[in-house]
Parts: sequence; structure tokens; C-alpha cells
Amino acid sequence: MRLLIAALLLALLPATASATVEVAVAETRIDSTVGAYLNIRTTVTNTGAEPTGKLIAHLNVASLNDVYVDLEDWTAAPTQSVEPLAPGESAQVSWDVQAVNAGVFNVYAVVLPNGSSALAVSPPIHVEVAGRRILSAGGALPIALIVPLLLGLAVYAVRRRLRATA
Amino acid sequence: MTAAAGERTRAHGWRIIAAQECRDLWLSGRGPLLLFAYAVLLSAVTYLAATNQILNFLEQRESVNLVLQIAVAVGVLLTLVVAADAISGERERGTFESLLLTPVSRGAIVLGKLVAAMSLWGAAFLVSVPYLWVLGKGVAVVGEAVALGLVIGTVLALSMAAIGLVISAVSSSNKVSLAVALFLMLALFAPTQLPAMPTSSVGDLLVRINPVTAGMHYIQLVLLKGHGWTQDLTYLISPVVAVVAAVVALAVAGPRIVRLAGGVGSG
Amino acid sequence: MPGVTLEARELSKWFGSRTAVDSVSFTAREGEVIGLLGPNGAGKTTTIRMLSTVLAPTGGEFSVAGVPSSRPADIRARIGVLPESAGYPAHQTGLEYLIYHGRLFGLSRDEARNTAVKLLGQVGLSERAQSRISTYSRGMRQRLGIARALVNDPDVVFLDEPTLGLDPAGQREILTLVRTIAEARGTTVVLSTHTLPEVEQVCSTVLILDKGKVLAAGTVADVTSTDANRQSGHLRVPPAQVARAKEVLGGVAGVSVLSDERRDVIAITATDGMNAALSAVVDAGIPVLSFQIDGARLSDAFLAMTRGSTS
Ligand SMILES: Nc1ncnc2c1ncn2[C@@H]1O[C@H](COP(=O)(O)OP(=O)(O)OP(=O)(O)O)[C@@H](O)[C@H]1O
Ligand SMILES: [Mg+2]
Repeated sequence: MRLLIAALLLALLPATASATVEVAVAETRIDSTVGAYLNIRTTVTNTGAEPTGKLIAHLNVASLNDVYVDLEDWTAAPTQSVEPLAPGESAQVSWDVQAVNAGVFNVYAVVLPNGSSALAVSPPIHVEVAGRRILSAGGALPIALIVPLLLGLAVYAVRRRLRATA
Repeated sequence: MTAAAGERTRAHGWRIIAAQECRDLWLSGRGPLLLFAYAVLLSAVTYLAATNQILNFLEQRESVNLVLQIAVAVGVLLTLVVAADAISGERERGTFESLLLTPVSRGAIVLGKLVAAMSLWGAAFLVSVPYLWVLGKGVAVVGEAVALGLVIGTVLALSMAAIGLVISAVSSSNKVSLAVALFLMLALFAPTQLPAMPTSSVGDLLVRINPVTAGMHYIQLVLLKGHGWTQDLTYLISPVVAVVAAVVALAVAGPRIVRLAGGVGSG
Repeated sequence: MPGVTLEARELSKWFGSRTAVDSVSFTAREGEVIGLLGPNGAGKTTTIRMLSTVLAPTGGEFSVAGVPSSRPADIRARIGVLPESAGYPAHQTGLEYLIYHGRLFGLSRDEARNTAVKLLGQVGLSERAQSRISTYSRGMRQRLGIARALVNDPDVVFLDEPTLGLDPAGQREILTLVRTIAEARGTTVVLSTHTLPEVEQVCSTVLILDKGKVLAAGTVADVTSTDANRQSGHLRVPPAQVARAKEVLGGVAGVSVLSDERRDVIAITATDGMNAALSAVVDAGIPVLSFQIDGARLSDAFLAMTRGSTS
């Protein structure tokens, strides 16, 4: 009896839910600092029984604490196209995003199938961007002086040795 | 010469040559001076990057990436210059015939010189480590930067050293050899200075074909964009192909092109 | 008879379309000092480079110290070469340089050092062993080069113009050294030069090359007698009489006048002695200010044979 219903459902399904896709994310939480790059990795899977057409994947950044977000600043290419997927096939889609503002954000990807079927949305990635830590250039200065100094001494020693035995 | 001596020559010839060439390079040659100039350059870049961090122009990873790219590029350049001088320079100084007159095989001569040239890259890499450390400390990027520099830099340096030796062996004079090597270096590195990296698929292809731009782009992806090491391995195809091809070419052609006179058509 | 240590058969080398060495064949034996004689561009250096396996011959075969040319590394292990105008690493000391080359010939570190010290003594460089080669004089460098050619206790030694650019004392030193090497070690020495007295002084046999071809080969006595009947001499007459003297000499059978000489000196060669020439001049009433027979020396043979190419 159950088998029969299942078979019936399968037969009807293509008509109603043709080409179902799912979007998964690689991680759900990212901590970062202003200016750093984040690599948002997602997996788009065709869970339906039919091949999909060409897909469009779009990344979105939503602020959770009223910080102004201009998506253009975060990534130059928020929209990417995905080649058609066979049933069960999946594709990796990733975005390089620069965290340009400090704040708390949700980042998520949307996949738009061809035609009128429903959008597929990934779970949100919780991104906390801390303000910049102030570094002191003083830390770099000693190294920038000591290394050439040591090598300069080495050059001098070698030259002296050459002269001494001449 | 005894049989045992012949055996020793065959087994250790390249090591003896490499050891002497390294001594020549580091104890009486240009090695220390080149390294000093290299350190001065890295100091300047590091100091500018550090002050730029304070002015908020450069993120910390960006400055590590900048210094690492320059360290690899210049280190590889120095290696190429030493390799390009290795054979044509000896011909010009008249010392090459004595080397050819020893029972050491031509292959061993090439290998010994390759090792000596690579010692310059090794030293350059070690010098770059403190700079990477001082810029990257605190954001857990130093280890990654050092490992990237070691892997990508060594692959690029080895391919350039091998190509440099081939150029040096076939060049009719040392001047020609150095000029050709520098031109090659310029041609390979110039694209890394172009502003738009891979935006179009043609641009991406160009980046991937050139082993230098491909290697540099890989460093940038891992270090700056936070990609995983395995995520963009395809960018490493051309550097690996280049190093394999250059070393194989050197091993195959080496014994034939390592001869008294350079240039084509002469004995 | 001592064994053959060097054998070349039909050895040839072309650089593009230019022939440098043309079917040269010869043999040399143990303890023999063979002089390779010829004007500039005769092919001496090219021959030595082929025999020492740094240049591949275009044609022909050879064997050195019993090793055929098909095993170049084994040949190199048994020979010592002082290359023409060799360079030396300026910043190495003489001792370092010899140790390095000893090691390249398979000596252990200690053996190489002992050999180097011994050889520096033999070539008279012990005092300067620890100085950089950049501070050596030309003669010292030549001696260092000869020491280098001996690090592997070779069976055959090739010396390409070892006395080039040395003063007479320096030349004598080097030649003494060469003779010592050949006598003490039973080594075959191939000595290339264009200085004839050198060959007469130290060589047992000569090979005269010109334009890549062997013109004469054999002992010094053999080669000089090849052309023994031919004598050359110099005749000095008052400048005003030179033209007439030449005219008279031109009429004597077997006598020829060489052109390219000083104004008041006439160089002549004669196949049947000089008497006819001299009496003809005297009979013509021309005062002979001086007359000198060069004798049947190697230089005459050499000059006579290669005259065409040197002028
Ligand atoms: N690498 C080369 N390429 C082209 N021609 C060459 C080369 N080496 C030698 N030759 C030519 O081969 C001929 C013989 O030269 P080689 O150096 O053997 O003469 P040589 O007898 O040693 O002369 P010298 O007394 O001046 O040293 C010359 O005509 C020379 O121009
Ligand atoms: Mg010569």
C-alpha cells in the first residue's frame, strides 16, 4: 500500500517540484576584522529528479545592527552563474568578500532556478567583524634595521677575510 | 687514478662541485652582497607596509602578502641571475675548460651548479622570515605565509635556476646570457603588476598559463582571501609543469650543451 | 720499446665549413716529449682539445693511455692538461685550487691536500700556497696550471703553449719542469708551441702542423733532415748593391732569394750548399760585408715548410 502511494507521488512530483536545488554553507560562523577577506563557500546540490537549467547564485549581506551595507563594497561580483546540474550532482560556488565595515551581519546565498520554481536559500552565516586592532610600526622597525645590519656585517667580514689573505 | 677514485668521482662529483661553488658564492663571491641588498629592499617594503597599516590603508594580511610576494619575486630573480652566470661566466673567465677536463660528468657539473644557485634562494627565504613574522604576528598568518613562500618560492626558484643554466650553457657570451635571463624574468613578472587579475576568463587563463603569475595568485588566494590550500590547486599546475619541464630539459640537454663554447653551431 | 700511450687516426675537426684539423694521425710513446709545432691557427689547440675530450672530433678516432675515445671520462681521468690561456679563480688560494681539483679527480680530502702540497713544492710555489691566485704573476699561474695538470698522476700530459708570455728565465724554468715530469714519471708529454728552440731543447719528437695538416713527423733529427739539403743563410752587402746582388743570385741554379727581409740583408736558401751563391756574388765584384749560414736547424725546416702560410 505504502509502496503504491510512493510510486504515485514519484509519478506526480516532476509536475509540481521540477528541479529542486539546495544550498549548503561550509561554516555557519565567521569572526573577522575590518579589511580582512572572507571566503564564503557554498555547495549547490540538485536534489530533484530532473536536471536543472542554468542557475544563478547570488550572495547577500544583511546587517543585524543597522550598519550601512553597500554590497558593491563587499564584493565586486555578488552574482555568479552555475552550470546546469544533473540529478544528484552538486557544484561548489564561492565568493571572496572583504569585510569593509565593523558590525554583526548575516551573509547568505540565494540560488535562482530557471523558470518559475522557488528560490533556494542557504542557511545564514553569522559574521562578526571586529574593529581594527592598532598595530605599532615600532614592532617592524627593529627587524627592518637589524636584518640588513647583520648582513652588512657579514659582507664586511667576508671582504676583510679576502683582503687579509690577499 | 685508482678505481676507487673513479668511483668517488662518479658518486660525489656533483657534491664536490656544489660545495666549492657555494664556498665561492658565499665566502668570496656576490652571495652576501646580493643578500644584503635583498634585506635592504625587504626592510624598506616592510617599514612602508607597517606604517600603512597604521594609516589604515593596508590590512595586516595584505601587508604580509605584499612582503611575501616581493620576497619570492626578488629571491627567484637573484637565483636566476646566479644560474645565468654559472656556465657562461666561467667560460668568460677561462676556468670552464679546467672543469670540463676533470672526469666528473657533464650532468654532475650542471647539478652542482644548480644546487649552488638554489642555495641563494634558500638564504633569501630565510632572510624573509623575520619580516613575515613581524608583519603577520597576532593574526595567525605567519606560519601560512612561511609555508607558502617555501613551497611556491622553491618551485619557482628551481624552475628559474634550471632555465637560467640552460640559457647560460647555450649563450655565446655572459652578457647575452644575463640579458636573456633578465628579459625572461621581466616578461614573466610584468603581468603580476597589472591591476586587473583574473576577472575575465581570458585573463584568468593568462594568469594560469604563466607559472609566476599563477604561483603568485595562489599565494594571494590562500593568504589574503582565506582560501584553503586545496581549494585552488589548479593554479599550481603551471608552476609544477614548469619546474618538471625545466629540470627534465636540463637533465636531457645538459650533457650536450655543457661544452667549451656556447652559442649554436660551434663544436 | 715503450708502449704507445697516444694514438690518433685520421682526426678531423671542422668549425662550420672551416677545417681546423684535417686527418691528423700520429702516435706517441711512454716517456716521450712530443712537440706540436705550427704557426698561428695551425690546429694545435684544437688537436689537444679533441685528444683531451673537451671538443668532439668531426671525424676520426683516438686512444689515450689505452682508453678509446668512446670513454671520454676514463680518458680524462688519466690525462693532465694545461689549457691554452687558462683562467684561474682569482679569489681561491693556490692550495685551495689544487685541493679542489684533486677532489674532482676522486682523491679524498687528505689525499688531495697531500698531493697539492707536494705539487706546489715541485713547481716552486710552496711559499705562495696560501695567497690568492689574483696575486700571482703570470709565470706563477702557468706553474700552478702545470701542477693542476698533475694532480691525478696522469699517464699523458698536454701542455698548450706553457711558456706563452714568460720571460726567458721563466721559460727555462717551465721547460726544465717539463723535462723533469717526463723523466721522473715516464709520462708522455705533448707540448704545443711556436717557439722552436723550446722544441729542440726538450722534445724527442716533433709533429709539424699547418692549416690542420701534418707536414712532418718524427724525431727532431728526422724532421730537420727531411729538408737537410736545403740550407738558408743571410748575406749582407752594401745597400747600393742589394739589387744587383739579388739579380746575380737569381741566376744561380738551386738558389732562391727570399723577399721579405731587411734592406741590406738578403735571405737566401740553397739546395746544394752555399758555395755557388757566395762565389757568384764575389765574382760579380760585390763586396760581401757578412755572411751567415743558419744551418740545418729545426727552424729552417719549419720555416721552409710553413712559409706559404705565415707570410
Ligand atoms: N671555436 C671555434 N670556432 C670556429 N673556429 C675555430 C674555433 N676554434 C678554433 N677555430 C679555428 O680553427 C683553426 C685552428 O685553431 P687552433 O686554435 O687550433 O690553432 P692553434 O694552432 O692553436 O693556433 P695558435 O698558435 O694561435 O694558438 C683556426 O683557423 C681557428 O680560427
Ligand atoms: Mg693554440
